[in-house]
Amino acid sequence: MQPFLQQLMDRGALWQGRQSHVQELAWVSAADPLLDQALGGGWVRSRIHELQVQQRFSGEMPLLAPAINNAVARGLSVFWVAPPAIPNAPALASTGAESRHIVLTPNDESDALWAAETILYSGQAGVLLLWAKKLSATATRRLHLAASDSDAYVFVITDWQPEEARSYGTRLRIHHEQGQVQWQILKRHGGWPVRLPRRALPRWPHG
Amino acid sequence: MWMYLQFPTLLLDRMQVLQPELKERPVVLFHEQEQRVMQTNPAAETVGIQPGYPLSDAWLLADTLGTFRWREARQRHLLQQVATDLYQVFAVISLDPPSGLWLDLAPMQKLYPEPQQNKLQLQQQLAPWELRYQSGVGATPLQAKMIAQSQVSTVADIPIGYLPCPLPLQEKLQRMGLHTLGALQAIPRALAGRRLGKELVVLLARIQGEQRESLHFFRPPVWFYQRLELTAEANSWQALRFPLNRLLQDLEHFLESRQQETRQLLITLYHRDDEPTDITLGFAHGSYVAQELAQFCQLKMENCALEAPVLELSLQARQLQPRHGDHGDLLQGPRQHKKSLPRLLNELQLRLGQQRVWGVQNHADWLPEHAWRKVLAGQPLGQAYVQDRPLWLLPEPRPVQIQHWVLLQGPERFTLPWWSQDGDQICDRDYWKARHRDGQPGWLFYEHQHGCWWQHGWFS
Repeated sequence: MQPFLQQLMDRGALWQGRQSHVQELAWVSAADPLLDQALGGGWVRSRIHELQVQQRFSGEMPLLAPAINNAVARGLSVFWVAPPAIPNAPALASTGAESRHIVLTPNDESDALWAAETILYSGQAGVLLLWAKKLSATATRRLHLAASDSDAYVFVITDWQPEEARSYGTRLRIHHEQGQVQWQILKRHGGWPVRLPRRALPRWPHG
Repeated sequence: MWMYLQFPTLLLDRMQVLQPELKERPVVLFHEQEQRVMQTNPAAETVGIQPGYPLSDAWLLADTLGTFRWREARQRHLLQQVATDLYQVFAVISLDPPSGLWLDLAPMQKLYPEPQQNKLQLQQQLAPWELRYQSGVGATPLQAKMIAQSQVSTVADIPIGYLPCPLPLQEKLQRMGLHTLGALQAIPRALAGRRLGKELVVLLARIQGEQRESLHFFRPPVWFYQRLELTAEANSWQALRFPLNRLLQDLEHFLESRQQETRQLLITLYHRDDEPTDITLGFAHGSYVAQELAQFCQLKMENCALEAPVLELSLQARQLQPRHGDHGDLLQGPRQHKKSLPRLLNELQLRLGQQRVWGVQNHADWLPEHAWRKVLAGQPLGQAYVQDRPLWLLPEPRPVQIQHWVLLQGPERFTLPWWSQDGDQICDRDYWKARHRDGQPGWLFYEHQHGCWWQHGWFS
């Protein structure tokens, strides 16, 4: 292959019509029928999904609750890497008493990325949540490789990012205003960018 | 029946196993005070160096000679390790430091009815050590020892020179024309006692087994310790990896035979002048596989530089515990994991730090701070005791301006019981669900004593 072409693919700038290796895709709901429809079924396993939020705590976590439940049902752990606050155990009870939530508070972003990669390659993660300010193209690419080798749903929660090409499976921007959210899908599997109608702020399910 | 094992080059053989590059050139261990050769390797023997030579003669015979100090304490320790390993196949072992040990074959007779089986077991057990040894079997410990040392076939043929008695007495016997033990035993005991003293009578009684030998029986150590001298000074972590891996393999063997695992390793690096450096590795979950432990060491050591060149290295494992295997589900078959969860968590903790990896668990308490607990990573969440709590809890409540919030639902009052220890820090609180002016739902409380509002969590 042309080195220039390879370079473009590495940067994720090239959209490939057909994946070279056919892989069975597993979906899990994104907790909202409209969003599920727009994403072609929900979140895809072994891909990384980016959630861009302007402020933390603007209804991003409820979208991930089905994925977390799915991980628990598969007997795998949920990893919270560099979360913005402490995941509160009583509220997590909806994911089941046997669920394992493991929180990592790394010193810096390079440690966080190393941890995320190690976790994904170990095959122990059902869901990996990574909070980061901004991920470089290389970091995203490496994470993508680790994720495609794993069996996990991987979510990266960041600030709003400029629209550069990255190797994310999905890029979702959350607009939040006065208790109303609007989801803007910047990149999705098999579809054009789209903006969904406004919704009330979704809530974390209570068990 | 007793068997005696004599290891003439114990320490040197061990060094050659740990550092195979030593095998290629003549190497001797020497006695520091006397400057005499103590132990030689085959390469040194082919150029004619023998134990007992002055060190200066040895230098004349081989110019590429490698010389190391013979350390008695080190050899005694090594003998213990050998005995620990032999303990797997022989029940009664008695050490004869610095270079021999006895095995009592009588208790093993049921297990190994053929005398040949003893030898076979011994060979198998000692094979990985690559030690040179001489063995001898006799009816009493002393007989076995003398046969092993002299390598004669019968007790009567043992030369007088191997008798464990003072040199003047040996010379006296030689002058009397008694050259073998058989000749000495042929003399009536009473006559020998009159001519040569009571000491010899007692010795003969010990050899014959008429007087019981007082031996200390060996007990295997409860924890692991090994120390290793490096051939060359190591300036970087890379140079330490191979010797450390050897030690870890020994540790694995040690743990494997006990069905144990370790939760703590202590690596000590010895320098020429400086104080030794201690490196402690703690694991949240026990481990025993050398390869895994080596990787943990790698993770720990990658980041730290050596303060000074390292001359020696030791490894200790103390916190040993019985293994508990995760056997998986019989029906579902083994899981397709590339790495076990405990191993992953150990790696994460070593790189990020012990307190940076943890699990959350529910705890039976009303107070939000105490309704959850930080636990060892990998523990299940457990049943919740309270309901309707926010998803996120702030590590510390933070003061808020109430003008920015709309109170939605409340209050829920928390009053500490009079017996609580936290009375000084935590006062009566009224919790409210509220909405920030940006729209996010939060969890606030009003503290009556200070008269101010605090935020404690987020619902979304």
